[in-house]
Amino acid sequence: MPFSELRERMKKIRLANPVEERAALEQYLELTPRTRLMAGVILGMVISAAVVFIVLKFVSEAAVSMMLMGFLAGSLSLVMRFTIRKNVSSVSRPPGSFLLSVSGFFCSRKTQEEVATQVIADMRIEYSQALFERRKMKARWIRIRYFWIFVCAVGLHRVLNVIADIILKRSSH
Amino acid sequence: MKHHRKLDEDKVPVLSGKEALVLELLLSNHAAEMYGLELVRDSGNRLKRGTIYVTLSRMNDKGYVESRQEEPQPDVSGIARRLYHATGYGQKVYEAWQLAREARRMRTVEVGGVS
Repeated sequence: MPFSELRERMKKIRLANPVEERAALEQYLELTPRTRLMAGVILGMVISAAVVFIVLKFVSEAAVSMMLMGFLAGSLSLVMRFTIRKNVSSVSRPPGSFLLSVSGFFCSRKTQEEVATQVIADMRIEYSQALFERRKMKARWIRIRYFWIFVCAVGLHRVLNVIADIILKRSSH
Repeated sequence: MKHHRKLDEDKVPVLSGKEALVLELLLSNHAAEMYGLELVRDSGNRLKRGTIYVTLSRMNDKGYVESRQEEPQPDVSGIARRLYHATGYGQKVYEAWQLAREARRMRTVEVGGVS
């Protein structure tokens, strides 16, 4: 299939169905799961290397460790995006499940019952309201915002501050 | 399960601004019981989502409010939320706090008038 024909075909199906769009692109590129994995890994490595290079060159060492972790997580998510097929059905957990398990580890039972669980319940309500109104971006924003609300409410920001202090002290020595 | 601390009878009860606001909202609500998120919404962003449950938990310890788990409904799944209502003790403390605030306001007016 020539590229121009593919482009026309993609235009037609882009708005109709993203799964079909992906399948058409994969068919054109003849991607197998192995090549997808390799492409994802290489892309992730290239992005990480570029980011590390820029950060080391222009930013102070204190910020390096924090930024590195963030960008490594980002490149990992890119790898996942390239390697995991979207049309395979998967069981996903409701939002806030991870935070609840974290608070179960760090917090007392009382804090878990009266604070953590209630914050997550509120998040799920606001999240599902946003999804019901078909506002996906708002739903994503609610998840991000409630992550920080949860951290502050449960007092995990103290733990994060201690970790940040340790990293900063180590990087300054 | 209640988590009331033993009340110290010699101590005068104290209300912070947030606690007074929570009591005001709970006492002005006709339904008498409210969720934490409802309190945040009704307060017009004076109460924050990140602090409301900590405040309510502290007020529960002081005996100003009480909470109960909402009853599970057959069609609805998910986390059971808590409903909060003001206790009689909380109502009295709020009324006393209002009187004290009113007295201080009058005193400020008097002092301002003299000077």
